[in-house]
Amino acid sequence: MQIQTNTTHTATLLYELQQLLIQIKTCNELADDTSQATVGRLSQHGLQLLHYALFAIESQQTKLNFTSLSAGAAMHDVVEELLPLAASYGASIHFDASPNLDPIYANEMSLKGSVYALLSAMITSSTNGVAPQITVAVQQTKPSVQRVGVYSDTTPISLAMLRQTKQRTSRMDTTGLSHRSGLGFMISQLLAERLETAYASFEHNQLPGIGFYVPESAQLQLL
Amino acid sequence: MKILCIEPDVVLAKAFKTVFTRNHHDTIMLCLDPQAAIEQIDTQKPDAIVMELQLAPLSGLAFLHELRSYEDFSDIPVVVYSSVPQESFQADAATWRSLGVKKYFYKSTDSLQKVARFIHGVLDEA
Repeated sequence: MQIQTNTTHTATLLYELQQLLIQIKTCNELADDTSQATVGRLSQHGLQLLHYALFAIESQQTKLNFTSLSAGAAMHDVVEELLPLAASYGASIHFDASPNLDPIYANEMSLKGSVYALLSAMITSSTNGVAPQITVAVQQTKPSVQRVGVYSDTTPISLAMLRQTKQRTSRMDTTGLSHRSGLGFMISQLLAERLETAYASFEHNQLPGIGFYVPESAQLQLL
Repeated sequence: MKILCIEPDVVLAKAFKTVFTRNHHDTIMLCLDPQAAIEQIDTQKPDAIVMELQLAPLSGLAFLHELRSYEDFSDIPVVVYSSVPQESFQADAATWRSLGVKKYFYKSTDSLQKVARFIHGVLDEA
């Protein structure tokens, strides 16, 4: 079972890398300033996604360092980092954080990586011809716990889509879901597990989406 | 020439448009999914189709079967430009011919310029 899971991870990673390299090769053929800028953005995104993918795989065998940090600041960083990629796809990302949020207790790389991977998958997988409009929100929805979520009514995102990527056995299984590998969906789930949480369905300002809960640092100090 | 490009990747679709319009002065119609493509073909009557096979929600092969089921569209030449190698499909040369596929290009090894030149060769012969 473990071998099969690892094979699925490896195949998904390779399909995504192939697609990124095809994009870069094709843009390079055009040899104009716009395409060269796109090559730069895609390369940077590819390296960042690969960084999170390797971390997700390697961290399965290690105990991660949890610290007190600002979920709002972490999510703001992720949104800023993805804006160039979003521009290449005609997508827009809106960031919405509740005011005066207390620090949370989490592993920063897992938190950022999980949302980065999910957001980038939504941006690059959209094929319905509608420019993706995505909202990233950090809210205090109940005492001592914050919710990090990704929402959109232009780009479908659901728990079923995330789970489907875990069950794939071949490249063509993505038909019906997306033309992309689903690597981002897979990484986002793996890193949510590292945070000792899991994605669930939520709504934010009437937008459907998914997210997860993270505990505030103060709650742990009380325990 | 009017070329319909069925390419789900937004970045690649933009590149298709640039290559065909800049080098060959073609009119390019872009479709990100096969369902929209059927409507485009019906209204715009393209001279040729260049397409990816890895599509959603309908697969590229299912699209080709549907396309060839319409008498009006049966002779539009199709060129495949896919990230999936041809050997991955359990299909022989006769099957590809029956689907109207003139040539299969693999994105990993074939350039977009090569695809554009081939399509113009096919259209010039016709």
